[in-house]
Amino acid sequence: MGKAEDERLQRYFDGELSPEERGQVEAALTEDDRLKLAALGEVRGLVANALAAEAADVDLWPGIAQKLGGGGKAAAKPRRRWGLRAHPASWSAGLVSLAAAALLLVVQPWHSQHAQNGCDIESLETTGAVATVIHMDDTPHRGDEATTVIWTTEDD
Amino acid sequence: MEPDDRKLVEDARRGDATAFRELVTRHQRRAFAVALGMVHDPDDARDICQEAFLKVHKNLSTFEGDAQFFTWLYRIVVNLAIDHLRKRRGQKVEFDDTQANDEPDEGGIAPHRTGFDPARALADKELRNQILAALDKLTPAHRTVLVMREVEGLSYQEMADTMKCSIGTIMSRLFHARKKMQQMLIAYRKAATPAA
Repeated sequence: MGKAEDERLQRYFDGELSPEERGQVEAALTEDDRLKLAALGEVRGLVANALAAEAADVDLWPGIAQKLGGGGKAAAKPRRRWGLRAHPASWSAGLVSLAAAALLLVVQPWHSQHAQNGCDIESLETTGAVATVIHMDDTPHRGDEATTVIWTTEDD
Repeated sequence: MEPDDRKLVEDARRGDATAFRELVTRHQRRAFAVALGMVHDPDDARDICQEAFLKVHKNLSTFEGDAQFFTWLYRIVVNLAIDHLRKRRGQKVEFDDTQANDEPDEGGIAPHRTGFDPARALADKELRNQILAALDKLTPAHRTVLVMREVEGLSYQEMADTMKCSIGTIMSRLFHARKKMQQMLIAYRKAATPAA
């Protein structure tokens, strides 16, 4: 078989032939052609798997975050997010969860003058982390269906 | 349900660093695999990918919504890797079509397999080293098309666009690259298998 036939076989292997051409190649496939196709598949599998395995544990983010500076540093560690429904019982459950995460939370007095967004808790103080409270009134006409989200970011 | 890339790009554009981190986490392995296949050195591949992501971050505002994020990232990675190879080896004409194609025809793909199970490459570090060493022996032009095709499955047209050459050149480079990889892996197999 000449180089032209091999290149045509390669195009077949790569899915670069029209349906009509594919049919022509398949109709004329010899045993050698099938072995060549198997060999091409083997090389593909070896190269792809070797590179995928070498890349499996790569973590580029620390270097990227460092070069991004402040913005990257702020997100250098994933922020953990808890979504709490605004029911008293859920608050308790949420706080228990936070305690279980070894965060010491001090619930500051909630002042009515700060509850401009309808959130009962204005802020949380933590040791080893910074907590931010966001109230999302996603269903404003259904009272207690609103969601409060607490974000914590570990201190560096 | 996880947000798609487009949503993450939109969020990252608005300054959401967590969204950008998710894009990095999601695509870093594919990008690294491509870069490593092209430049061989893991540290260089890491630098190239980090630089590519930084370029992406800087140009998020130019990203077109109907494009694929990884395709965009991928082109940056490939171009940075090509630039890196040119600088490292000091061969300005290394990607010249003449040099890449001006080779004696030593026959086609051999009609037999190397004998290595591709799945073994996932777990066998020694085999991976041999595969990477074989890749490194290819010319950068051959290596680049092989990685683009076998790792990312780019079409001939996409590869031609990326490397700014004709489809015929891509086909020829791919043909030679595969043939040489097959020959090197068969030789390694023979060397690694004790004589009966």
